[in-house]
Amino acid sequence: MRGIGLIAALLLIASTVVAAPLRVGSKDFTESVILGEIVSGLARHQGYPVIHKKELGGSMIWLALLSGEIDIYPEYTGTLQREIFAGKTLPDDNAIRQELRLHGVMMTRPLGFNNSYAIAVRPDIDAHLALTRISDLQRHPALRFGFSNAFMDRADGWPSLRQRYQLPQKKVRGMEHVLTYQALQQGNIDVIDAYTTDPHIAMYHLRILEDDRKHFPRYDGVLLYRQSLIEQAPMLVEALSQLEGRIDDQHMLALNQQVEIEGYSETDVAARFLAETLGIKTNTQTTLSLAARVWQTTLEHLFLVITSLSAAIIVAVPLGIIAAKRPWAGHFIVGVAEVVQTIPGLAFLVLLSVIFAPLNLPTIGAWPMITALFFYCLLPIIRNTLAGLNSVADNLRESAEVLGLPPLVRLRLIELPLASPLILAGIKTTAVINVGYAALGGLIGAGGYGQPIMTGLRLNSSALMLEGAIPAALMALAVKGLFAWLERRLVPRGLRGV
Amino acid sequence: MLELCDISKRYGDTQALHPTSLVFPCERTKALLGTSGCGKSTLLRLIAGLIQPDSGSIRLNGEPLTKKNIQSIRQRMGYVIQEGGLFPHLSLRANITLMARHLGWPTTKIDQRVAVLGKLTRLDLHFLERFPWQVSGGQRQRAALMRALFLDPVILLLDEPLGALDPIIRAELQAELCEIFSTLRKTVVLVTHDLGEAAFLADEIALLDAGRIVQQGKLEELVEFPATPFVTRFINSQRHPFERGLRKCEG
Repeated sequence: MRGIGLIAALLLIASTVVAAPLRVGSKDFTESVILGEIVSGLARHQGYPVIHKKELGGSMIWLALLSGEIDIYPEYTGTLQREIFAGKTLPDDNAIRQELRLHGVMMTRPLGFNNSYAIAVRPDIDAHLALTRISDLQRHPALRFGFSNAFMDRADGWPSLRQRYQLPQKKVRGMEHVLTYQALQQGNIDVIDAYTTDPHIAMYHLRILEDDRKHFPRYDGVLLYRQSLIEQAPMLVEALSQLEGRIDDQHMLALNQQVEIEGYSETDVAARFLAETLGIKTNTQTTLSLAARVWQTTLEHLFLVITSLSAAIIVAVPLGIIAAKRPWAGHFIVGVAEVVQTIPGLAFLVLLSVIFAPLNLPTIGAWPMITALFFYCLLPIIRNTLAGLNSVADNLRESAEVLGLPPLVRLRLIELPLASPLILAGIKTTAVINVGYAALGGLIGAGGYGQPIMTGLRLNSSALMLEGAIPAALMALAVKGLFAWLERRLVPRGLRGV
Repeated sequence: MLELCDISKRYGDTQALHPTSLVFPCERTKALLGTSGCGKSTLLRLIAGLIQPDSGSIRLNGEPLTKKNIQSIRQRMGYVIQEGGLFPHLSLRANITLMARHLGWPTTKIDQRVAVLGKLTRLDLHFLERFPWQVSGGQRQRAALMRALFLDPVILLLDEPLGALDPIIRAELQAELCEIFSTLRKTVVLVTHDLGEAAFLADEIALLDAGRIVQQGKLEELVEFPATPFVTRFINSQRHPFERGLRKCEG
């Protein structure tokens, strides 16, 4: 008993001495990640331990800040006005600031750049049609638009742009942002949405059309942080003011270019910025080797897969047994599991974050991902358990019954062993699919193979995408092999020869 | 003694068994004989408690079968289902000793019982380590019989026990069963569609048709004093193929 008390005391002391690390968030595009790295570097320079949760999906990052899973992240005033507080009229920064304070969130002054949405046209189209303003597009209904998925959905995106300018175009496609440049290059689309600090505009010589009806607001880059940060990290909050007004449009464009075109890591670019602009020397951590990175993501991925699958087995097999024994309950159980299965992955993650946020449960990171995977695993295991038990021949079921064995013993000694080949096959299929699904974890900072895939997608880097995709494929094969071995061990010997 | 009192069973629109009363006296073998769908299997399943009668009652040595006592009564019943019903994932030995192990019998007692029953059913003990699909149909039936007899039941229920066997093995096993029945002196309920088998193994025959007992008695009685034309038709249908074949050869 004394030992336990001692450990508890040590833990208590340790928890007060070792401060909880600051959690910096960033969105799933380069500029946001660079800003996140700059803030992280600054905080480390102040002596705070920092965790940078990169590449969080757009709508989830705001919820993550509210629920306290991150302390600070870069945002844009236009997004706050048009998207996050879409229902409210917030004419200026002060109004935004007041609204944010109601949520316990603080906002820095603008960092200096305005990363507005812009509408860009392919150079040859531009030469041909002589377009200068967005309203010029009205005259060319045949033009094909390709917009990033976020732009298609956002309140300040395509729906309101079309209304404001009365645009007649019918061929409008939503796609991943980096792919719009490729599609434009290949001549599959003519007009895309772009960000004004996007280095690709210059690289592809795109023509930016003037927003002559003033549709897009200013998207001034700012940092949002929780009010509690003022007490938790007063020196950092003070240091943040050094960033205010220090990064103008050209500067931000240059930083983006260093990452997206020249291939430097966000960490290096942020460190150079801090050194050159603020004279802050950060000890850039040596970047991990490929093997170390893959090992790291493998462990994270395994954690997601194993935790969710084990929980699903523990829940789904009994549910399958209940479904087999009580057909009316079975219809209900399988029905619910089927509905869950039809929800697309990303939508499910957003749904979970909406449900989790008010419950003070984590909305980003490994746990919501494990929850989603758990639900996806249920159906195939329930189904196969049900099918396995139903496949037990009537004469065997009755033989067990007339022997006088009680129902639970019959289940354990006769029915489950006879159903085991199908149940195991169900778990095997589920495990293999789960390895693939877990890559969605990249969307909510859950780690695993999804992370390099997401980054690779963002930077249009095949090497990075393969860094996630190849190990994922190998893991799926390994899982399959593992279950083949388990089947040999677990399926009763008498059933293997039949 | 097993008594059935006015039991009936209906499946949807089909009256599988009309109200029937039947007595199985102690230490006697009674065959339930009939074509498929006549209700003989329904009757057996009612006795085993696999299905519940719509009306009437079943009593074993005076004790009525209820949902509560069915578990303990089953331990006093041995049941050999069609094609044996041996569990494919268990060895013959594990199949045979399953219930005794569940009841916590000591190993030595189990081994003794295996030896006794092996001798009785003439099943070579070295087959016991095999799985059901690794032995012949005859050996499977011997093992199924051993399993049914393991707890020394007062009543033995046999549902077409030899139905799936080829004729030679079948004849051999019939002879053995006859010997076993006279050795053990148990109350036996034998369900079969084979008149010869019923006559050979049973002390008395109950012939069923369309969910009713048409006639009860020894084979001679059925032949000489048939209660209905159906009895004669049924007997002739099973007698004629062999005799017709014989006559054709002679002619």
